[in-house]
Formats: sequence, C-alpha cells, structure tokens
Amino acid sequence: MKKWISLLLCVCMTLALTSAMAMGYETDESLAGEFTWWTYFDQAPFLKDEFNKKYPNVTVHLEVFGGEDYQTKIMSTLPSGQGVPDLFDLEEGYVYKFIESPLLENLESLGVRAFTSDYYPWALAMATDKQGNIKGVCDNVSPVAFWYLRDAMAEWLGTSDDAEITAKLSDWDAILELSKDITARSNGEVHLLSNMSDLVKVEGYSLTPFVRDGVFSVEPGWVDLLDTMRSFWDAGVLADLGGWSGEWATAWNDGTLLIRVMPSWDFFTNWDQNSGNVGVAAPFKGSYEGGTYRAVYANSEKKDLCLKFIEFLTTVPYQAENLAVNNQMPANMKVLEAMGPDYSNEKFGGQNILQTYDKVCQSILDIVPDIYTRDCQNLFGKHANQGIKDGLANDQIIKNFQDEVRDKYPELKGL
Amino acid sequence: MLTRKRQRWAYLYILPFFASFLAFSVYPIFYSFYLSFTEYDPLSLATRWVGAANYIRMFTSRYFWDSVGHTLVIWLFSIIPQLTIAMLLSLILNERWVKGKTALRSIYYFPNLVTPITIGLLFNMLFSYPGGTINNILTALHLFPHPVEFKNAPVLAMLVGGIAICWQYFGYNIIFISAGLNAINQDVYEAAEMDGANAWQRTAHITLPLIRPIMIYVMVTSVIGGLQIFDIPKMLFRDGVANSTRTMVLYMYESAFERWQFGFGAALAYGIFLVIAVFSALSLFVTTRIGSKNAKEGKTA
Repeated sequence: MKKWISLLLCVCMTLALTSAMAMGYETDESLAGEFTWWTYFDQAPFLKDEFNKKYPNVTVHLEVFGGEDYQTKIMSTLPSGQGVPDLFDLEEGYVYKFIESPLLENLESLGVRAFTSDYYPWALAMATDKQGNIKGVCDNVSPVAFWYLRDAMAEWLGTSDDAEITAKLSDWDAILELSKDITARSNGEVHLLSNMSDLVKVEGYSLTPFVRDGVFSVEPGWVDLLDTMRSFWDAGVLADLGGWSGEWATAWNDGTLLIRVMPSWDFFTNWDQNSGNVGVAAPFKGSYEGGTYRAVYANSEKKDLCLKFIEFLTTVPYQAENLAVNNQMPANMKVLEAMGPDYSNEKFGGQNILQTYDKVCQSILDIVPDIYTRDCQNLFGKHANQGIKDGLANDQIIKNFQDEVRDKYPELKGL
Repeated sequence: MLTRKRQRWAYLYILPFFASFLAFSVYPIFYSFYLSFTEYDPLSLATRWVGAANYIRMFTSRYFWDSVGHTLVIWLFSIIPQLTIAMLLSLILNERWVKGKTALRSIYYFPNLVTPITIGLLFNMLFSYPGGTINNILTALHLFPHPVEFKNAPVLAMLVGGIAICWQYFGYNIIFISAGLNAINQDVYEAAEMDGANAWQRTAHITLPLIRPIMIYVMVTSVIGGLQIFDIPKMLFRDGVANSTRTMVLYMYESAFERWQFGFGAALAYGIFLVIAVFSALSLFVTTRIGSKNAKEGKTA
C-alpha cells in the first residue's frame, strides 16, 4: 500500500512540476511593492526579469557593482544603516565573514527551510550560521567537473563516450598514465592536464579542512596529495599553463589541452567554436568552487517581498530556466527529478549534464567551510606548486605554508 | 577697524576648506591611529583595545619586511630608468632643432593618463607565459629557446613591475624636468658657449646643477609615490612566486580589506608612513648633499 501511495505522490509531483515548467510562471498581480537588490553578479538581471514575469507589480531596484570592492561596499554599508539594500548577494569566497552577523536576517525564522528542503545539504551549509540558521540562499550550485572536447578525446583517448571517459579518469594513477601516453604520442604538443592546482581543486573538499574550530592541522591526506602532485610534475606531463589564463583557455578550446578542471559556471568555453562538442565528466572526488548567496538585511522593511523573491529563486521552474539559458546547475534536486533521465543539453552534445553534476554533488562530503577553508586551500596550492617546482621536500613546503597561514591568521592555534 | 572686520570674513571664506580638511583628512589620521591599537569588527563596529599587539605583529612579521624589500626593489627598477629616460628626453626636447616638442611631450605624457589597473592588465598580457607578446618576440628572435615565466622568477617579476611603473611615469617627470630646463636663463648658455664650452660641458656644469631643485622635488615625490605602489602590482602578477610583487600597500590592503583585520591594517599604514618618511629624508639628504658637494667643487675649481 505504502508503495502505491509513494508512486502516486511521485506521479502527481512530477506532473505538477512538468506542467509548471511547460506553462512558465503563473502570474501573480496581487503582490506589489518595491525593494532594492545589490549584486556583483552579471546574470542577476536574468533573475530579476524572470521574477517580474511572475510578479509584474513588484519593482526590483537592481544595482550591479563589479570588482573586488563589492564586499567592502556591503561591509561598510550594512553597519551604517544608511542606504542599505533590502537584499544583497554574497559570494562563496567571503560569505563566511558575514554569516554570523545579526545584520543578516535569520531566514530560518522566515520559513526559508520549507523552500529549500530539497537543496543539496552542503549548498545550504555554506550560508548557515553556527546556530544552524540559514542566512543566505543560492539558486545554483558549482560542482567541479572535468571539462573536455569530444573530438579531442576521441582522437587521444579513443572515445567520446561520457561514461567511458569517466571510467578512464577513475583516479590519479590512471590519469597520470594517460597523461604520459598522450604527452609521448603528441611529442609534448598535447597535454591531458594543465597544472598541479587542478589536483587541489578536485581533492579540496574531500580532505579535512586545515582549520577546524580555530585549530590548524595538516592531515596526512594533504601530504599524500603533495606526493601525487609531485609525480605529475616530475613526469613532465603537465601543460603548465596558469589556470584561467588566456593561453589555458585557448589551449583547451583548440584541443591541445584535453581537460580543464572547472565548476559548472565555467565561462572559458568558446561556444561559437565548440557548441555541441563539449562534455563533462564527474571526477572521482566531489568538489565545488563558487556560489552566489542572497541575504536579507535584518532591518529591512521589505522582508516580505525579499522572502517572495527568495522563494521564487528556489522554485523548479526558475532553476530549470536558469539551467536552460545560463547552464547553471540547479541547487534544488527536484529539478533533476522534474527534468527526468531523458534530459539532454545540445551544447554538450546531448549529454545529460544534470546527472553528471548530480553525481558530483552527491559525492561532496558534508564539510562546513569557514573563513579559513578556501583561503588555506589556495595558500596550500600556491606553496605546493612553487615548492615542487623548486624541488623542496614536503616538510619544507608544509612549513612555508604554515608560516604564511600564521602570518595571515595569528589567532589560529596549532601553528 | 575695517581691516579687522575683513579678516573675520576671510576666516569664513576659508572655513569650508578647513572643515572638510578636518573631517576627511585630520580625523581619519587620528582615528586610524586609535584603530591601530585595537581589534575592530567592521560589522558590529565593536573595538577591543589590544595595546601594541598590532605593531609587535607588524615588526615581527617576515612577510611585512619582505613586502618592504619588494617595494624598494620595484621602486629602484622603476626610478632609475624613469629618471634617466625623462632626463635624456627632456634634454633632447630642450634643443632648438627638435620639431614638434609639444606633440612629443603630450605623447610621452599619455601613459600617465591610463589607469594603473589597465596598465597592470596590459603588462600582465604582455609578459604572460607562455604566449605573451614579449615571450613570442623573444622566442621568434631565438633570444631564448623557451618562453620565460616572468611570474615565477622573483627578480623578473619585480623587474616587470618596475618597467610598468616606469612606462607610466617617465612622461610625468619630463613635464617637471622640462619646466626646470626652460627656467634656466639662456644668457648663461650663451656665455658658456662664448667661453668655448662644448655641449657636454654645458650640460654637466650648467644644466644639471641648475635643475637640482627640480630633481630634488622629483626624487622626493617619487620616493613618496613610488613606495606606495599598489594597483599595478596588484593587477600584474597576483600571487607571484615568493610573493615577489606583494608591496607594502598591497600587504596592508590584503590585511584590512580581504581579511578584515582593520586594526592590523591601520598599524601597517603607520609602519608604511615610517618607512616612507625615512626614505624620503634619506633621499633629500643624499640629493642635497651631492648638490652641495658639486657646488663646493665648482667654487673651488
């Protein structure tokens, strides 16, 4: 009996979701008002326009600020109480600095948990304070994947099939062997991976963070990672192109660099050149990079409108549209259910990228980051890269890394 | 009586400037000094008195002293060619036979109008590895068998920073030096010519000594400005090897605005002030001393 009820519920939910998507948004003209929203994110106007399709009588005063100083602007505006936006975006790199502040509304008390019950838990954890209250909500997640070009993979790996490619990239040993083979066959013209930082990107959230509860430590897994990075460097199989550099992007788009380790929001693909030829494979470790969280000012008088806005961005129809238009991986797992196993993306050669990304998202460990997590990972990557290139021993690399962490964060214990 | 009344009005006229000067210059100076003895949470605005802890941290930080060293090296890499080029071009532009002086001065000044962020990005692309323009030229001319990774060689990374700053400021210095050259009375040159002085002698014994005040000004302001370099290194090679392009101000910026350690950042601001004050005094002393020595030697001769 239970089975039948579950099945019936599933069918009803799927039908409801499908019809919601097919119909677009059901217009609600009863909601009216205006609020201010600050962001750094260039795709924010898309969300605003979609929101206004559903709520045409709500005016959103959106202000987009570019550059790194956006966080300083928010930081100095919030406590002043003057000209504070009702809603504002915070990036994954610095959201942790804001999260404990009472100036951010406790969205938990506004009922946000109900809209986000189907979110990937780690995506919510990023903007949850120490008391377990949600302070910010995202509309997409940023799982890290291996990006490749199908024709280049067919030429050098002998297959363009996603499952086969994923199987071939099953661990670092397998990747190193493939790298050696490709580098040798191409006389050093073609490389599988670009640089040692790619390894940190894949492993970063599978190892215990360097700082836990204010105490610094280096678990043996990080030292093992150093050894793995060194084996790649010593084998001379890396393209050694700086991540996110022009040369790096060009090499991948031209097929001389076979894999880029990038999150789902990648903007380095030349779609004019490679649309339909792109594929993504789930790495053997789950990881993410980036994220945009929407928070509400605690003293705002427009909290009800902001809440409606946040509710909207968590919905399946909106996140499905965001996926279709902007390739943004939905944070709501219900989108995956709604789109079904037959979903395919033409830009990615008909691949069901939702399933690939979901595999990554499901494998991301339940690590709750803090202000030190990302910065320490980046510092580790920097010292590992340089130390290995300079021929330093692991102990010396770790010591250099610790020295810089101590200089940056003298409040940490264990250093 | 009328004069005294007028004086009162004068105070009123200068009040707007002094009010804004007190609010936006004097107050921040004292407030940041207070801040340097505290730990400050920018969101709650709470401050906690920590005494000299921020200063102790600064003086014992290897990374701070490294940043002082990097700043000085980048400054040296920029100031030596900068003043040499500016002086040579000013001397050439001062010659009667040179046509289109104004146009040339404007062209040389043009890089100074470009924002430092743009210059940082431009030089980043020029010197990028392996496919930057400079690397392409070096390898095409077979000067190097492989592209050079400027970012990963500390001295080269600092040299590129110096070149970028030199490119931005040499035209700016030409304006000052040219003004100094124009101020020299032509009668002096004519007298020297009549006495049989050749071009080199006129330059060495007339031009250089007479533009000494301008050179002292250029030198001291370049020390003050050059030691505050921030934007170009920030955009040029972020996280260069051994933090080689991390200057003093960049270190302060990272502490205050990236890690929100505003008390420490304020202490660093005062540390930077001390370093700049010492080097400004030193450059003033050296240039004045050299000038006096030359003057004495001239008199004796």
